[in-house]
Amino acid sequence: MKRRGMAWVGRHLGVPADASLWLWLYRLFVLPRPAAPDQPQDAASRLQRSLAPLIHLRTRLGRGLIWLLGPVCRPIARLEPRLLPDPVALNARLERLARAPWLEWPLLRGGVFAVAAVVLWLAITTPFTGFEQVLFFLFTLSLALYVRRMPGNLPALLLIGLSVLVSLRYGWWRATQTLTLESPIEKALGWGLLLAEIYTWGILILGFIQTAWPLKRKPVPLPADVNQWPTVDIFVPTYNEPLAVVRPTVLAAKGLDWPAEKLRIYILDDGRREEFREFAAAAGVEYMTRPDNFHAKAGNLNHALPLTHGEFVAIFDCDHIPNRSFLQMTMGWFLQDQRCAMVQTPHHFFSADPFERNLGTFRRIPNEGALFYGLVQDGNDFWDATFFCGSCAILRRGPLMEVGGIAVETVTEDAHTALKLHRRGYSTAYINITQAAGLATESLSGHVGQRIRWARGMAQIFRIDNPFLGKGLTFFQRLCYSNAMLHFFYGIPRLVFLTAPLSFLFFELHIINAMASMIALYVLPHIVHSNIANARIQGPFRHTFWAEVYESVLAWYIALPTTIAFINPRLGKFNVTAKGGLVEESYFDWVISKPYLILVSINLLGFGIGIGRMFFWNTHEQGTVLLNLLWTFYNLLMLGAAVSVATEQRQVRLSHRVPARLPAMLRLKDGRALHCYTEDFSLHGLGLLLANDGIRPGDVLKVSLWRGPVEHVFPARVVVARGGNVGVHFEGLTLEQEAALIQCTFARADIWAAWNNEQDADHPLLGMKEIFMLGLEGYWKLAEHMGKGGRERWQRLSGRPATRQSRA
Amino acid sequence: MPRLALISNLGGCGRTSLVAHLASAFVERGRQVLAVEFDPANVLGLHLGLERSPEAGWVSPLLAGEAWTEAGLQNSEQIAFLPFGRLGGADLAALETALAQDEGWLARHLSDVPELDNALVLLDAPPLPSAFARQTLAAADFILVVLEADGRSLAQLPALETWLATLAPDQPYAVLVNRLDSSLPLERDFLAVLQYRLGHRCLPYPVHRDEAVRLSFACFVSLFEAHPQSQALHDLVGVAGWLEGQAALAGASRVTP
Repeated sequence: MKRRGMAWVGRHLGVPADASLWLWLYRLFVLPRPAAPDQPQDAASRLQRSLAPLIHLRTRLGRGLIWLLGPVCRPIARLEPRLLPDPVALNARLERLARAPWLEWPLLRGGVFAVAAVVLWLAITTPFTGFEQVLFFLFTLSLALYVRRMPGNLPALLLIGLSVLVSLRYGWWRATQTLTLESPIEKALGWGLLLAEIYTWGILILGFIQTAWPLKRKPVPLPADVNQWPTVDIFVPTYNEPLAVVRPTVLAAKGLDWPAEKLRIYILDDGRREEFREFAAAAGVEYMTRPDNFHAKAGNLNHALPLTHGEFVAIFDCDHIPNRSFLQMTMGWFLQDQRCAMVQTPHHFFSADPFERNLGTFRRIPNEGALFYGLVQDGNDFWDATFFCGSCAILRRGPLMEVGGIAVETVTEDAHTALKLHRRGYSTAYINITQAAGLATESLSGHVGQRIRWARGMAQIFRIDNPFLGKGLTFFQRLCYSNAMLHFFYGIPRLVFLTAPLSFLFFELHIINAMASMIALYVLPHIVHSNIANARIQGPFRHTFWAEVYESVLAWYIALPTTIAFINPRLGKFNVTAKGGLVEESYFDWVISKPYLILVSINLLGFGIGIGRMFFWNTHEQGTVLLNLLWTFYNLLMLGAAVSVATEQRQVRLSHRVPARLPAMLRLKDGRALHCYTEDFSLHGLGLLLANDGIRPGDVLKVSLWRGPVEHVFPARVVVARGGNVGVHFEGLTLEQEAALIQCTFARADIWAAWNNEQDADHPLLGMKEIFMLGLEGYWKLAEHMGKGGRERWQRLSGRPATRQSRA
Repeated sequence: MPRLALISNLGGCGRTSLVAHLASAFVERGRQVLAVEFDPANVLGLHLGLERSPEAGWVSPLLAGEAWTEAGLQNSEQIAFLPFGRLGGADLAALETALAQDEGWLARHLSDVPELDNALVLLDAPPLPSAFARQTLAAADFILVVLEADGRSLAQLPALETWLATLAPDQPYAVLVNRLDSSLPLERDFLAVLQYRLGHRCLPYPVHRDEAVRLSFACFVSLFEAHPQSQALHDLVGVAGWLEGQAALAGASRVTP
């Protein structure tokens, strides 16, 4: 089989069967056989000639598939339950086996590990021919597809194991058999690509370790005796955010379920604004400023720490509205575990981030943060490596003071503070129950700015307080922290992948020395297995391929800051992201998308050249061309999605509506009281589901909501009344009523519990289709806005007034 | 035959209307209901859809030794009820004498009626401290005390507590606040004080003041048919559900749909 395959390839390349490897390589990648003089050279016949094998192959494949699908697949499918054990039952047996007492015997354990290590070594390093590699892939794939159907965490570990095995095998092959490169430039590029790949394998494996066994910690109930509950200070740091953003947070904090004499709330205003001072006095909370603004948020918090005295310090970003149950959910662990220094809860956003808004995926596809707060932190918690995320968290004052307060050496003070706590031997905890919610960054530029800060800060920590070095951390804490930091270095590798095929398409440089088919045979299993494993462990938190979308968009912007911070951690500036803005009109962000437009252009050019090389000229290495074309096509789709995100969609309202079905009552002017339910709520109004009973827009009425058994009444005006919907807008709320409104809506204990229930499930193949559509849509939007921009320029040139302001 | 008595020490707090609407709410929840009026005011019929108070009732034939259950009526909602009927001055005096001599008069006569076994009986009586009200207290399995969120209720709370103290120690009861206008801060405050003073004895659901209740009364229609969105109706259904969960009222058979 192998020999016949080689002979066939050899005939096509013009290599005799007994030729040396060098001739093979020469023919494969450097110079093809000289063209036979009698062959016609016109384009049409060339096209025909190049298409012939494809058509031939397709016919054969099609026939083969039909032949297979019919009589073979159906009986196999019917026999399958009899041939293979039931996956659920098998899993139960596996779990029993894993807990078997004799597995604890050190000698046996050691023996098992030794045998496994030898087998693993053999499976990774044994060179295979193409056919053997196909068999190997078929074997691992069938195993994975079967294991995938087993419930529980143990099979997830098996899938991870398979993925690591296959990826390491690919890595070994890449490192040992594909690096015989010709020219210095090819060597440089080839090694660069390999380094980028090594980075992704490393991150893949670190990620697997980090999320291997999510802890899913439950809250611990507090003692019944309220006297044992400790005192708590709530810090709400603010700098330039408008008061309207801060008010709900402070009023919600006031309503936390905690004895009033043991709860103090501090507004820490770095903007030193009089209206904030007045609001604090009216709301009955403390107000604090400082003479300077050193170290931004971290400095602000540190200034307040010595001036306050609560045993615990809870920190909320000024736009994160806490639920009333926040302290009840988090405090229990502190009382149970005296070494516990910090409890973190998820960051939840009730408005769409730029990805969700511009791609239309809000509440349908898990957003960028979902993976971290849904899975990674729960995974970290297993290794006692939960990070502090700067908000929606509570810290024990003693340990915090012991490490010198919030860290100020880097721009991600939160993660660095947690690292210092861990180094001192304190533990941290994560409770994956949303206990606060806020606004997502409004625009893509703001979002990018925030991610740049995170990436820079993580790179800074990696440099000045490297988790691999220094004392106090367990091995797995080191791994978790390293992954959190290294993970932000994806910028350059991602850019490498986005441009790698171009070196071949433009300059015919061969940066991987292997046959296209062999590359496919090694890469494909690596991709397939890592996706199967990730779909299993990350499924509900990150859909297949979406990591690529998120990374592709941010890669360019993160590449430089991380690199600079890595070289010199002190360079660069810290910027605070603005919140509460409104994109009033759809526009295309030409500034932020510029790098992507350049990447799109060169990839399109490369794709064009590739098509040419496929059919019209230099058609001697079609396999390699095809592989690079596919790669470029995939890159173009990712870049299309990135372009799509840059098309800022118009936002309709400033106050974001949260869907919720809460009982409500309308008291009308005529004395009737109507019972109804809310459809959604916002800070300024309610959407009510109510058969319209003589209610007209402009009507003034009272609307009741309940917090537990207590009814609160708010004055309101009807703004919409049609069909089964009535929209009301609150009017003239007193501060007391405003606080009650927050308590009846945003601060409810369970208000975010069902947020993800309507999310789509992860179907890798459907996801692929969706990404495809998103990519195409990006180009469509780009074309539209280019047309629009062109029109405006034309109108300006011809002296007519432009209808719209250009924002470029 | 579980009996639920609605009692108050206040006049005009919407007690009779509450009897009628609770009857509707129980029927809505699939229970068979018999409303028994034990109040010479003779107005329950109006709340159940009659356009004028009935002349004939159940008390007069009973006093005369005749078949008194014939006086029963049923409205379009399938609520069976026994109107008090118009009673002459002499008859009323005779009845009051009988009541004064026999504390268990009402209870005994109600249990004489075998075909009532399946139904939940709602008892309506004039305000305390009338003899009618005391008879009703003695006949009830569960007592629902009706108050309003106002100064009157609060002022008479000690008197009410004294009455409640005379009940058997295992006699279950609860206090319901009726006709709450929650848009008035004073009423919300009175409600909070009442709830604080009564603690768990106060029902978690007040019934809101709702013009729909008076509108349906004025038009001789059921609140449940004419004003399905009304808050009062929603509250009543909640109260009925809460009452059904009380052990003392369990045991009445459900109507199979």
